[in-house]
Amino acid sequence: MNILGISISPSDHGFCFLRDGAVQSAVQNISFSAGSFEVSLQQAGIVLGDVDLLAVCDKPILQWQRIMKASLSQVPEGSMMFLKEALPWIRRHAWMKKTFGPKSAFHGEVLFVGRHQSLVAAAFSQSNLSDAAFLTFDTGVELVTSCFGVGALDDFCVQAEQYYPHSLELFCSAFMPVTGVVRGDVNHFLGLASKGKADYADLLFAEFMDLKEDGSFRLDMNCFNYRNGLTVSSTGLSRLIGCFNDNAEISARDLARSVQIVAETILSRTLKYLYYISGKSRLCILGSGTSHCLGGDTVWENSAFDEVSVEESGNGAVGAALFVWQQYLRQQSIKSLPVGSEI
Amino acid sequence: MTCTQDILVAVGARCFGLVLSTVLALLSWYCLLHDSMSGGFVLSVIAFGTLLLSLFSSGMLVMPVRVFLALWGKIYICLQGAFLLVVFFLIISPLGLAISVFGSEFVSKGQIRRNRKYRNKAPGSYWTTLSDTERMYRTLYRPLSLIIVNEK
Repeated sequence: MNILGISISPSDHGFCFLRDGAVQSAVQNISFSAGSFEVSLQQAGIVLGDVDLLAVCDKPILQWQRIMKASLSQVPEGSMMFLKEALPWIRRHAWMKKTFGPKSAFHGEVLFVGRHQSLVAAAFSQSNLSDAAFLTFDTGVELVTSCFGVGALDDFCVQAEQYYPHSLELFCSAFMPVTGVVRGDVNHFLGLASKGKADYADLLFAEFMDLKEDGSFRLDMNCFNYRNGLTVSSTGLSRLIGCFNDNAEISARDLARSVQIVAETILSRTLKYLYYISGKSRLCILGSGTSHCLGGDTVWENSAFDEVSVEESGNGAVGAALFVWQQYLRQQSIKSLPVGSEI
Repeated sequence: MTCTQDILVAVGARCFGLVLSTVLALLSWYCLLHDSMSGGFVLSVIAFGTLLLSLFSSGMLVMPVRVFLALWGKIYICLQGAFLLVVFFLIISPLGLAISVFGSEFVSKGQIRRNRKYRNKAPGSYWTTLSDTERMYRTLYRPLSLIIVNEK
């Protein structure tokens, strides 16, 4: 059984070829268009005609729901954002079956796997942990921004979720431009944070979010807006400026450190709650950029879990392919067994 | 029936068809968003059918309008009663109850501002615990239709 896993989200795009459950090749950061994609496959020695199943990381309808939610919450300003996001969505997903349809050599089945399921499957396969709790963080490409649950690679279930735009990663990255750091330049942000004091942590907790004891939180959306990703709004800035010192550089350092403290607090509380609710001693975490924002492993080391595996970046394509192999096909084979057969 | 009434019924039938098809189309969109392909398909077909009827053969939609006009007096009284009940039970009564229990501070400006700040504020947690059905929905599916594979 040959499975081709692909991921076409803007932050994570690549493919993975799985033959009978073993990863044959995995490529990340390739451009996804009908022509170039087939060329990349050929370079990796994959013949599209040999592929039995195509596993796509991301569920298009959940992405669409996220786009609608974000756009409708900011009418009329959100209409431009809607066009900006909806058109690439249509380009990426609506014609997918055509891309791999009758004209191409692929004649198998296309399956869409949830982003977080893919990430969890990828994280489990990398960590080799079984019977463990898992926790994922994401920017909310697919509505869900974080989730946790228990299980192993071949059988896990999501227990609870948090939804867009209440994302830890978005929260951290929203403050990067405020501190003078280019969005995504995590090292620069960590460098600032290492020199600062957490003077604004209380302000962030009080004015920017409502954090619960179990690590779940709601961002006060008056302080943020969605344009060009989640950014701090003018209301949020005015709340910050009210507490800024005269020396802007020191304030930026302190703000970076404060954001780091907030992230650490959220993660510490979540881990405590997860340990309590899951009853597992092992933990598998996947969150691109989250651990960067923490700038150290103190949170994981101080948690009650005996063994913690942290995967900073997930390969959605590998996860989708593994998920289909480990769970979908297994369940299909169980279904096809005669009634009363031992599994 | 007078000519004016006939025109009213004809226009009413067309409007009724348009409104009904819009509502059904919105419902089908809602179904699709919640991964119910079959529901979305059935509702969109009915919506499209109703739209065609209202545009090209609105005479078939005259009956519900006639019934509505015949019963308008009773419907009007019921609507008034329902409105009063809603106003009393959903607004005045709970407000009075809240003030009597929590005091007038409950409706102070500051408290209302605090309440508005975090909409949908959960009492203890913002984690959304998934039900068994939702877990199955999350398992795997096609672009729009839903194939439940996890039957445990």
